[in-house]
Parts: sequence; structure tokens; C-alpha cells
Amino acid sequence: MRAVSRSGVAVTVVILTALAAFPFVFQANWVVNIAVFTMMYAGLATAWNLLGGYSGYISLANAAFFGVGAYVIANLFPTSGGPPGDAPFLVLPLVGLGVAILSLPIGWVAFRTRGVTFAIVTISLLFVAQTLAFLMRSFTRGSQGMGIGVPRFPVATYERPFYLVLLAIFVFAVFISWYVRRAKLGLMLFAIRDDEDRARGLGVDTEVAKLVTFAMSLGITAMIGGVWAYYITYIYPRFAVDPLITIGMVLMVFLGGKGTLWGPLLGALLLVPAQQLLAQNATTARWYLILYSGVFLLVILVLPRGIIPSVQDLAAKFRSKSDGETSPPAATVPPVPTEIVP
Amino acid sequence: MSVETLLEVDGLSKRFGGVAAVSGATFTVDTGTITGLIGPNGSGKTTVFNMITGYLRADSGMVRFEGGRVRRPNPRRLYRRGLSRTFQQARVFPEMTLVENLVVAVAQPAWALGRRGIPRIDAGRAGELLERFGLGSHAHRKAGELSFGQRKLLEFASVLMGRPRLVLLDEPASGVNPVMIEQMERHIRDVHTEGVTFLVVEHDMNLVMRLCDPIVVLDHGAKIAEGHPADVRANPAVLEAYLGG
Repeated sequence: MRAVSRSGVAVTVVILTALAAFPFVFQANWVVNIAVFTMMYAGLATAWNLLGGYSGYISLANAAFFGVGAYVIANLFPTSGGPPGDAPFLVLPLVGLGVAILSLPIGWVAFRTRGVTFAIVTISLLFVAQTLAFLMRSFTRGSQGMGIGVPRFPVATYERPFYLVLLAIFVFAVFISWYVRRAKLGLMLFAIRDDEDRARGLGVDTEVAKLVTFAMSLGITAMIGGVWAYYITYIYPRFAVDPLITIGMVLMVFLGGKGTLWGPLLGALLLVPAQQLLAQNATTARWYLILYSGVFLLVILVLPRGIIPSVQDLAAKFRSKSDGETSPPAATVPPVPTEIVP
Repeated sequence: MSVETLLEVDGLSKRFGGVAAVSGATFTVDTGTITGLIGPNGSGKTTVFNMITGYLRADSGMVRFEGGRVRRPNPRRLYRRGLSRTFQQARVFPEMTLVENLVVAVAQPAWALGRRGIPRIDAGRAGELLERFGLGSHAHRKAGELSFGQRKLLEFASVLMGRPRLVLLDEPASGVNPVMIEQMERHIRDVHTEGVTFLVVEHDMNLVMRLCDPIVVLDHGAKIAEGHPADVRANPAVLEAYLGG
């Protein structure tokens, strides 16, 4: 359990100040629009990292819960109800809590499996949810789509409230991630990631640790889905429960560094603006899929652990080189490669 | 020391497809002993371990621990009841520090999930164990940086965090150098004198004969002999199993 370091506090203050100041410094609507989506993915990726990065369980179902959050907001604030103002933001904590509780029985079933099987079970869940979104017409109006009351925010700063709410959710997700790392739960998750069977043999309550984390991760995801729905004000099953959202958040975590505190943010900062810039031109709109696959290849081939851990390794190597003889010799025996769960 | 049965294995059987890995294994481990469990390769020793500790479900048979039948054995619950094990391959949590490797093993109620930092009492016990196993200077290094022998020691230490009554050691001496074997033997004896009972699977016969009494011999998944080291060594069935193949 890592102590709070001064540099860690400094990094946090700098990052959060920069993020909070952003829409006030750069006011052009199209720029803040990109920032909204960046912050959305930063939050989604951070929430995904909580389970995927810490415990090694690759959940591909997250976009399903993003969709649940979106449809709950759409049902609570239909177009017919007039402009809802800040109300959708205020109900988000309840939406998050509700979805977290809803996810427990689902997690209980999904966690019967591990590794690749868990990934497959959860991606199946995603497609089940998408199909349900098409079919449960009383809740989603199916493929016809569903409108949400349009907020009457001032045009010049229309995006700003969405950005700030997403930033708040992101900060909440980072806080949870930071807290968990230093808590008993974090140790349990890391032990599960390293060797789950052995963790069970040492009395670790792996079931509870996984379920609690799954619920927290999905509650945050659903809150973000709610903000997204309110922002775009008209949602369809295809986009509300979209595998590409899951892929996006997973990719950002892998790129930035899974299991790290800031890796998901870094991944989102690198990928989302590029994706959004491509999306502004009809010809290049879907090119981001090629970008995604390119980044996936890059991560697999060059940065299997992501940017932040790789940079940390480099820095450590550099430091030990410059220290020369004074530093103690590194491990006498190279570590035995541990099983990697794909 | 009064002789009482701590662990009772009764008619344990397991088939993998058409192969009977263990067939009707029956033996007991008395409180205060270091019981050896030996047998040629493939005789079912590790399978027996896995069934006792709940990693593998037995087809039939039963296990009693401290007089109570263990229904649906589960590694976590058994650890909390005082029965824990090590693995043949020296399994540690490579990405965690040595202290974390130990502290995570402290059974805590579910409500303590959110407790931050390491309670002083746990940190103290972890530090004590690391010192005792000669790992104190590595306390804050990652376990993945340790040598194989050191990992074996760390694994042993983490099992002791739960203050077990019975420890199952799966080949404590395999893959480590002779000096480390001696160290390991000393540690087992030390922990034993503190009142912990052991069941040891081991291929190093010299170590088994020095350390264990009684010894249970398995062959083709069934017990073929049991007794003091000298008796077991002289037993024709045992010689046949090892040499006859």
C-alpha cells in the first residue's frame, strides 16, 4: 500500500486544475464538445480500470450498463416534459446506485467464470442488452429512438455544464480508484490478478472483492451513460449500447497503462480528440476504427503494459544506470513469467 | 502430547476420464506430527492435496478436520479454520511487495474491505515473519524479484499469517539448492515446535526420512504402507512401488 507522496499530490493538483480550467480557457463550442467526449471516455476508462486493471477481469459488458443509465435518464426526462435543466444531473447518484445494485446478481453469475470465458460471457451480455434495447419498446421505443428534453443552457457555453459534470464523475472515479489501491480491497484485487487460486487459499474473500468492484465500476459507467444521453438528447439502441464504447474504454486503459491511476485519462486524452476530429468530416468519420486497430497493434507489439508503466520502467532503468555501483544489484534471478490472462 | 486425530482422510477417490488418479485413499494426520505423504510420480499425492484443500472436488470419500466433517471444502473457509497449504511451484503474488503478500493473507470480515492502510498488528506480524525467514531486507520489494528459493520461503511465511493448525506443504524442497533445503527444514521444525502440524509431500527421500514421522505411502492412488520411517523403508511393497515401476 503506497503512501501519499508529495509528488503524487502535486501531479493530482496540476491535472485536476488543468481539466477544470479547460472550458473556461478554450471556449469555442467545437473544442469543448471534443472535451466533453474526452472526459466521458476518461471516466468510462477509469471505471473500467477499477475492475479490469486491478483484478485482471476483462469485462466487455460495460457499454450495456452505459446504455441502462442512458435509458433511465431518457425515461425520466422525456421530450414532452419540457427542458429539464439541471435535474438529470441531480438524479445521477441514484441512477449509479441503482445500477450498482442491479449489477450484483449479474456479476454473481458472470463471476462463475474466469479469464477468456469471463470476457466472452460479458460480451454476450452486451449483445443481449443491445437486443433487449431494440425489443423492450415500452422502455426504449426500440429502433425508433427516444428523445430527452432539451436543456436551455446558454448557447455560448452550452457544453460547459456537461463537461463539468463529467469531470466531477471522473474525479469521483479517480478518487475511488485511489482509495481502493490503498485499502484492503485493493490488496485483494491485486492478489486476484496475480493468482486467484492462491488468494482463495490464503483466506481472501475473492467473491466479495470482485462483486463490490464490479458494482462500483458499473454504477459509475451508468452515471456517465446518463450524462451522454442528456447531452445528445436523442438515443438509439445501436449507439446507446454500442460495443465500440466498450472497445474504446478498454483500448484507452491498455494504451495508458492498466492498473495505474492516470493511465485511463492519458489513453482518453490521446485517442478521443483524434477520433472526434476525424468524425467532423464525413469522409473520415469512421476512420477512427482504423485508428483503434492501429493503436491496438501498437500496444500489443510495443507497449504491452501501456505507456505509464513503460515510462516508469525506463525511468527506473535510467536512474539505476546513473547511480552506478551504489545501487544494490537487481533481482538475482529473473522473475518466472506468470500466467497472463488475455 | 496426547495423540488425537487432526485430519482424517477416508476413502477419497478421483477419476480423470478413464484414469483413477486417487482410489480410496485413507489415512490420518495426528495432532503434533510431521506426517509425510510419499509415492512415485503420478501416485496421486498432489491430487489428494487438492481434494483436501478444496481445489478439486472428490468423486467420493470424505475429509474430517478437527473432528468435523468438511462438507463442500472451500480453500478460503478452510484457511480460516486453520488449514492451509503451499504449492509445488512456489506461488506468490509477483506484482505485490513482500509485506503485501503477507498482509493480504490476514482473514478479515467483509466490512473491512474499505479499511485503509495496514493495521499495525498485521504489519508487525508480517515484519516478524519476514525477519524470521531472512527476507526482512526485501520487505518492500516486489515478490516477483525474488529467487525461486526465496519465493518458497515467502510462500511458507504467508501461510503462517493465518496462524494455521495444519499446514500442507507440497514439495517444500523441490527446485531449491541444498543450503536452502536445510533452511527450509529448520523453519519447518521451528514452526512445528510451536504447535503446528504438517502434512508434507516431498520427493527428497533424505529430507522425508529425517523430518517426517509417520510416513504414508501412496501408489496408484491408494495407500500401500504407513508407519515410522525405518519401517516404511524396509517395507517390500514400498520398494516394489519405487523400484519395480
